[in-house]
Amino acid sequence: MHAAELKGLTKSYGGQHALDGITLKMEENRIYGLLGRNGAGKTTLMHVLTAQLFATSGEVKVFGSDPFENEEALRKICFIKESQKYPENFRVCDVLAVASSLYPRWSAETAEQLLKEFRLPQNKRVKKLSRGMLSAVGIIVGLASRAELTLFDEPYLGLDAVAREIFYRNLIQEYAELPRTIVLSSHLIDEVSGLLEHIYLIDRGRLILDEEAELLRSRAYSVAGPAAKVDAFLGGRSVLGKEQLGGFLRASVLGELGEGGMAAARTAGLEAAPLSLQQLVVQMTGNEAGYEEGSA
Amino acid sequence: MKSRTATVALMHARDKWTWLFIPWMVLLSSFIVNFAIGLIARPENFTTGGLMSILIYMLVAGIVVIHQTFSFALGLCITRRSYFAGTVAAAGGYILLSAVLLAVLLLLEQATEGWGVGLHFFELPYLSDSGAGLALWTFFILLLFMFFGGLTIGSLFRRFGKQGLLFFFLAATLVFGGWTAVVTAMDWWRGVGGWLMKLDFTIVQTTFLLLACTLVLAAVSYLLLRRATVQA
Repeated sequence: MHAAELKGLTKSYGGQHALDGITLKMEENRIYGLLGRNGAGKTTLMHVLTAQLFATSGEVKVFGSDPFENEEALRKICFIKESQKYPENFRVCDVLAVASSLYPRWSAETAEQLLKEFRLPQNKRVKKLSRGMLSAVGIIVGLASRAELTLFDEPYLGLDAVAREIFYRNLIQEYAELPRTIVLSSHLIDEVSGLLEHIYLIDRGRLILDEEAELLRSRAYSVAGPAAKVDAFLGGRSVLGKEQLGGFLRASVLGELGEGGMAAARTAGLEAAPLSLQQLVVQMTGNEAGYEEGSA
Repeated sequence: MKSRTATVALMHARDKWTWLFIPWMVLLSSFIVNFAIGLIARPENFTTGGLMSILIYMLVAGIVVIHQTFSFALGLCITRRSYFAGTVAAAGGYILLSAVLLAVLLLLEQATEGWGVGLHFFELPYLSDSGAGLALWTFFILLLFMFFGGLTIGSLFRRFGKQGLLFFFLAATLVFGGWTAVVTAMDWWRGVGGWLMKLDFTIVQTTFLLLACTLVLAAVSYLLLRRATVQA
């Protein structure tokens, strides 16, 4: 069984496609990265996955069944989002009490531990919390829920580097203790790339990349050196983007460099290196026209 | 592991301010003002509309509760069904509690001949001497009706947004306004009045009529919420 399965999922608002024919399958007990620019459709996708929004067409399955009004399925999902609203008079402890009674695998220990690490005052009203503290509440709920499918949508708005480290560390620890499917949507790609096992990249509502993180390392590379030499080297290769600085050129290239390519680059006096995930995402989603497979 | 409906009910129950403290503060402040008037001005046997305050508050509570908790609950992956059932259970409980308090205060008022100053604050029209049981029932139904009225408006807003709500009220005004215009133009008011007189509902019948309306409102509100979404 898959933790989540989408088939031709489309969500449109008056002819505009927020999501456009997305098909994917998430395996159980893996960590997925859902990447893309603002407005690409990541949040919409997670809302559809949790039946908070309805798909215009296509199929959504969570643990094998449609999540709409499906308590059995929804019980297994915890969705933490940056824009989560809380009732007016709720304190931090109220939120945790409600969440703890919703999730069968809730860990009070984890919640306790994280409260301490984030230095979150339990009796403070949620409305009065700073942006970072508010994010911490979400993170605590998300990790302590131990839900079979845990979705984090930009969970660390306003959190400083130390607090983000706390999140990453606890995420790994929790995952190691009790494996579950985790989907992490993030802008801080470099920070999280080490955590992710599988990458989905969304651009303008379309899924443009669906790949193992391991394999992505060999999927694109950059070559840098004197412009003329780089240009010569690029002949016939699929170029994602170029940056020129005087006579110096750095190009991002899609495809496997391989031993041969590496040797060729070296003999040409060029520097070649695998493209980092962040660079790859920037190259694939940065241009105005949108990314097309095979375009040069 | 509690049922999720129970969790929703307990979620609301945590908010004693919305459900208990604020409505009773509103009502009691109105009572105190009227009692003071009774003490100072010494009018003979006067009735007030103070009881309306808690009824209006219930309408507002119905509107506000969805705005306050629907996205939170759905954000925690609660089904709309559980949300609705839990909300109704919690509201029903608090409304029953309020109705009991009102009935007790009515008994006290009657026992003290209007708190010693002839003040009829907790008395409903036509209900001055029909016993505590019927008073309790009537309070309960009135509060419940107002709450579901609010809940329906809140659901309408949640489902169709600002424009939807505006459109609904515009349409309602047009339909009702049109009807009144027709009745006035055709000089039918006498007939309408006569028909109402002929119905001659007793208090008990009226409460059951209200109960039926309440059930309809509840059904409408549930159907609206079932298609309501959380965008962000």
